[in-house]
Amino acid sequence: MSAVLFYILSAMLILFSLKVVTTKNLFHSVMAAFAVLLSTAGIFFLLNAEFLGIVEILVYAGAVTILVLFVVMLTTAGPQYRITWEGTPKMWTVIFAVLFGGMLGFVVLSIDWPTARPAALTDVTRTLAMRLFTEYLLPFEVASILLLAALVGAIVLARRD
Amino acid sequence: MPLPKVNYLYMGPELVLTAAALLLILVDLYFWRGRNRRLAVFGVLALLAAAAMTIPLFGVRGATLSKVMVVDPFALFFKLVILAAAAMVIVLSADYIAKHKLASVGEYYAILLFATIGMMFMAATTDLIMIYIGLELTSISCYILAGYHKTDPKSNEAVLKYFLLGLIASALMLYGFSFIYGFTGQTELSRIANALAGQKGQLAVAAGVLFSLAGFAFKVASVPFHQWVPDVYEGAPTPVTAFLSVGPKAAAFAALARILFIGFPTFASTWKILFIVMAIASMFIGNLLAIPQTNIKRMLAYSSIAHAGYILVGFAVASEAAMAGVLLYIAIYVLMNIGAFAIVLAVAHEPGSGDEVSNFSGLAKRAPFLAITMTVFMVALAGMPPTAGLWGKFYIFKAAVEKGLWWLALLGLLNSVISLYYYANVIRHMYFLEPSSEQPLVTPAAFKGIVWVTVLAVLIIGFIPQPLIWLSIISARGFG
Repeated sequence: MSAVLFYILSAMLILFSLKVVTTKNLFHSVMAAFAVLLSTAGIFFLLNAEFLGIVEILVYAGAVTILVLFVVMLTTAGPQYRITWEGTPKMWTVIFAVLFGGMLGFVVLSIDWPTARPAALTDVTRTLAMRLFTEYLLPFEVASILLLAALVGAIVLARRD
Repeated sequence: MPLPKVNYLYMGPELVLTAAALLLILVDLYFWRGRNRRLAVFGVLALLAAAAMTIPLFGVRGATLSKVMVVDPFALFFKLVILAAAAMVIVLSADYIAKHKLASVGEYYAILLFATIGMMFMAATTDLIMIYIGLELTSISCYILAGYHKTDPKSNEAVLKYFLLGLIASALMLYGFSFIYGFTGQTELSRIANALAGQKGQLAVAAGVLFSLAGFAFKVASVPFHQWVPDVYEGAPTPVTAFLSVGPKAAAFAALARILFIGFPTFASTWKILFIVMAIASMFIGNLLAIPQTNIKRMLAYSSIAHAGYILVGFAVASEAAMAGVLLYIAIYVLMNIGAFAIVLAVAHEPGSGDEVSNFSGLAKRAPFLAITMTVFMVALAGMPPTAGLWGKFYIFKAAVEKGLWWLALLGLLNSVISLYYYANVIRHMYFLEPSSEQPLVTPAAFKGIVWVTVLAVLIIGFIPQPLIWLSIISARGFG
């Protein structure tokens, strides 16, 4: 059952990811990204990581996509904006992508990845919190400096002087 | 739940800088509204305080917060180099900001301090997550700084290119880390090394290391991830260019050394070959493309790609002596490059002047002091005696010869000769061409001060290199 769900979610993830980068309509691209994030959240739920799944939906699918939609609406380009590509010859892009994908596929398939059974549902969030606030306390704190720097920088660059 | 023990002494410098950065934003908002020079002095004082708290830690080898924060001579060496670079860049920034009337002054210095904090964490951790967060803190701060000259289209172009390409590099590196974590289940480097010992199927880890290497190659501006360098260095405000060419580079080299020597010594034979290729390509492409440049910031950008190549020779050799050479090289490179940029700033400070090599024409008649010191920096960047530039190259190439890579050292020497061509071109402009005006050049005291400090350091280390060499050897112990 969960294996079937996993394949369905993964297929959605791949298809919508392709849609994000291939569509020429900016609005469609954002909506496809929304579907990608929802599928990712689904995979987190399958792994019993319900906290990560909820965060993925709340923060990424919810907040970030809506923000991007606002940007699309507020910029002069508007939702009708068509993306155009120029520059790199397409041939090379395809060859490189195929080679890169082939290499990744080979690496991923040729290895016996160490796997663990999903932890019991009740423990996942607790374990996550324990590790986040003990072992990874410093990265957690520095991440707040990172967000502050990004916030201040965004305001500085975007505001009219 | 047992909370982790924090050694505040070990984290002192970072805490002081964080507090200072926040204060800068607040003080700019309420008390010293746009008081450029006061804010700059405050920033420099904070950096000096952080340095004063770093120096007494020498001799300590320890860790706090479950090894996410490491204190050892290697980390402290890089921290001091980064702090010195940041302090000099702030001094250079004040007059640039005043001349170009850049807005949001307090935030400028605060973001510069944030970048410094990120770099210090990168140099002082053995945990992949902390390396990544430190790197992102550095990168995002640097993107913002590169775009600070908002009315200059070139600065806008620089921030966009830097941001988009930098994101790809960061994503690639994170993807590599996910392979490493997926296979070993660890993020701490020494535990990764333990988990890898005697394991089969290390292809996944090799792919992970390869991807992270690609990300680092972008950050240190090495071929084949160098295309962004000239445009960003040319477009960014000049003090920021000076910062970009030394700070993030030094921090990325530090993190790279930790990842390779602590986490993946078992892959040494593979990554050594990669580094040989990258070093040769960076040296040749950097030096050969620097020759036709007419803009001095672009020229120094290509020269910085070439310098990344010389440093990568040390990584390709991967012995303790070579890493000591790398540390020595980075410290000296910071001094001579910031000195050179200080003179670029001084020349461009005059109304109507710019960043072209032709703006240096006849400088010897208009500003003999700047002309002489620029000559010293150009000679030092080419690696010639009697300047400090000689010693960095000498120790890296010597280590290469000791390890049987004499041909790599020979290629490095050949490149030093090539680089002399474009460095000497600047000297030719200053001494043998006629100036556009006869008026003596007026130079702000801050630029002159930085030129004095760096030129004295470059010359003194050139004649008495022993203390710095000794410090590098101690700091590089255990790497290689």
